[in-house]
Amino acid sequence: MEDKYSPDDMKNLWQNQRVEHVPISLDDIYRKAQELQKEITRRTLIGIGCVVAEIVAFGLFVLMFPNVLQRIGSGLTIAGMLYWMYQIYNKRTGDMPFGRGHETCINFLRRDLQRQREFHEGLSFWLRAVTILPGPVLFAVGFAIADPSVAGYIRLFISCFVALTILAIPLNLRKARKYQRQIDELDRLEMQS
Amino acid sequence: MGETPRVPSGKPSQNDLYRQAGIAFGAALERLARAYELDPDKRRDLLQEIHLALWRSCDAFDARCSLRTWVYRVAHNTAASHVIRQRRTNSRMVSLEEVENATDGKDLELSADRHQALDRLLSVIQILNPLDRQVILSYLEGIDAASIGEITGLSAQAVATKIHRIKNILTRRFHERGRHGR
Repeated sequence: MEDKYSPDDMKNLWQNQRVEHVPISLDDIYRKAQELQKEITRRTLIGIGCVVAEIVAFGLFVLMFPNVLQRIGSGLTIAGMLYWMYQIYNKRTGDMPFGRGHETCINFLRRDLQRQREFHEGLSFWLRAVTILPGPVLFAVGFAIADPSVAGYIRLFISCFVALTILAIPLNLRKARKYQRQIDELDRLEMQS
Repeated sequence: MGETPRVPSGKPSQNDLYRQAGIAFGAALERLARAYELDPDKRRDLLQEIHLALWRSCDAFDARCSLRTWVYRVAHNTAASHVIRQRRTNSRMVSLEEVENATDGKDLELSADRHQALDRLLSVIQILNPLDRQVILSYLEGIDAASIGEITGLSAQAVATKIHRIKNILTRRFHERGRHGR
C-alpha cells in the first residue's frame, strides 16, 4: 500500500478529521468550576486535618514529656509542619490559570520549570530541609536521654533520618539542574534571531 | 485558516466572549484535546478543563492580541499543564529533532487509509514535548508562522526551523517512504 500524503494533505487530513463532538454548555462550565473548587477544598481540608492531627499529637508531647529536648523537638516539629503546609499552599495558589491567555506558551512552560527548579534547589528547598530536620532529631535525642534502654534504636533512627535528608540534597540538586537545562533551552529558542 | 478580528472596543461580557470563542474554535479545541490525550474519558475531562480555563480567562481578555491567539494560548497552556501532571506516568517525551533523526519503527507502519494515517500522525504528535507539540498542532491547524510565534513566544527563526523539521518528518513518514515502497 502506498502513502499519498504531502505535508499540506496532512493539514487537510488533520483539520477534517472526525472528532467526537462533546457539547459543553455554560452550565457544564459552572458545574466543572464547582467540582474543581470542591476538590481543592477537599484536598486543603485533608492537608489541614493531617497537620492539625500532628499538632495535637506533638502538642500533647510538649505537655506530657518532662524532658526539655523532647519538648523543644516537639515544638520544632510542629513549626516545621506548619512551614511545609504554608509552602504547599503557597505553591498551589502560585498557579493562575485565569491569566493564561496573557502568557505565551514558552513563558508558561518556563514559569512552571522555574517553580519546579525552585522547589528542588532554591530557598524553599533549603528552608524545608532546615525546618524538618531539627525537630524529630531533638525529639529522638530527648527520648534516648529520658529512656536510655532505647538509645540504640534512637541512634539508628537518627542515623537513617539524617542520612536520608543528606541523600535528598544531591538528588534534588540533580533534578534542579535538569530543569535548568530545559529553561536554558527555552531561553535559547526565544532568543534565536 | 483566517485570522479572527480583534474584538473592538465596548468589551463583550465574559459569557459572550466565551460563546464567540466556542463557536469559532470549538472544533479546533476538540482536535487539540485529542492530540494531548489518547484516553477518551481523560480527553473529555481535559476538554472541559480547557473550556473552563477559557471561560475564566475571557474575563481578563483585553484585545491586546487576537482572540485566536488568546484561545490557543489558553488551550495549549492548559493542555501542557495536563501533560506535565501526567508526565510521571507517561513515557519520555522527545523533541522534533529526535523524531526527525529516528529511524521509522514498526509502530509507524504505512497505510493509505485516512484513519490509520491520522493515528500515525497522532502517534508522532503525542511523543513530542509540549512546545514542539504546540508548534506542530498550530501548523496542522493552518496557522501562519508569525501567529505561531505570537502564541508560543518562539522567535520567528525558531518557528521557521521547527516548521521545516515538521515538513521533513511529515514528508518522510507519510509520503516518500510510501512512494518508494518498503
